[in-house]
Amino acid sequence: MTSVEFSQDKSKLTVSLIGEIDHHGAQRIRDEIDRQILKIMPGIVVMDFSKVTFMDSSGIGLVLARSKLCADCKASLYVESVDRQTGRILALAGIKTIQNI
Amino acid sequence: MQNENYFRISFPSKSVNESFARMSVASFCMQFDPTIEQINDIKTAVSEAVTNCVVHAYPDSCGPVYITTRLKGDKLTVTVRDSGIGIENVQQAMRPMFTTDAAGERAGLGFAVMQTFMDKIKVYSKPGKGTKVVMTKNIG
Ligand SMILES: Nc1ncnc2c1ncn2[C@@H]1O[C@H](COP(=O)(O)OP(=O)(O)OP(=O)(O)O)[C@@H](O)[C@H]1O
Ligand SMILES: [Mg+2]
Repeated sequence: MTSVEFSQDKSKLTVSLIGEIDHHGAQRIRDEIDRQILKIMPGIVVMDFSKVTFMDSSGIGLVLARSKLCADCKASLYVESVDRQTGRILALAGIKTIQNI
Repeated sequence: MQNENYFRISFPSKSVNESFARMSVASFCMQFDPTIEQINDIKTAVSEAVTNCVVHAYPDSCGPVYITTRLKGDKLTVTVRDSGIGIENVQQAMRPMFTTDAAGERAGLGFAVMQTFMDKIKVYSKPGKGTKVVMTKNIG
């Protein structure tokens, strides 16, 4: 199962992705993420991958489309806490990630 | 005697089956003591091939997806096949960032992911007939 949790700290919105990010799962959460971004209009959006147990190229589509939305809303998007496997996939699309140490 | 085993499954191209498909292939491979990294690689590649059947092969309908997994010695071969719309130009389709479904938030990197995580991938397709993706990986 795939789900998403949000937490807010001033103008920073953290989007915690939970579970398996495949085509089926991404479809279930993308509208929810967009609604939250449009509602809060944050300055910074952090997509936190620490609770992601599986991801394929659907995760790339999910991040790239959110990064477009963030650009439209003048927010900066960061991708955080990806494991090695997920990092390799995101790197294929040139998506840089930050490690949460 | 060489270790040899195979299994076949088929299921309708519903997105809910994407996770079932990659888990089935992964469970089957467990008998050959793969590393966690190898299992993750296999799951990711199978997920890409199956998702392509769900998204592209039967765009506005649902049709059968067939998976054959074969283990012989240290060599794993996974074949994912559909009888969907097929691919006009396979070489072009395999190029990174090429997608016919940008509106659906696809990145055009599925084949690139399969190539990254498996040793070899071959794609056979005929427009109107279907597509077959054959992936091999050494899990010795
Ligand atoms: N089984 C298939 N049947 C018909 N067309 C396919 C099939 N698999 C792939 N294609 C075609 O090849 C293109 C590239 O596939 P690929 O998996 O690399 O990218 P994508 O599916 O478009 O995006 P992503 O996998 O990154 O989400 C697809 O856009 C589609 O046009
Ligand atoms: Mg794909």
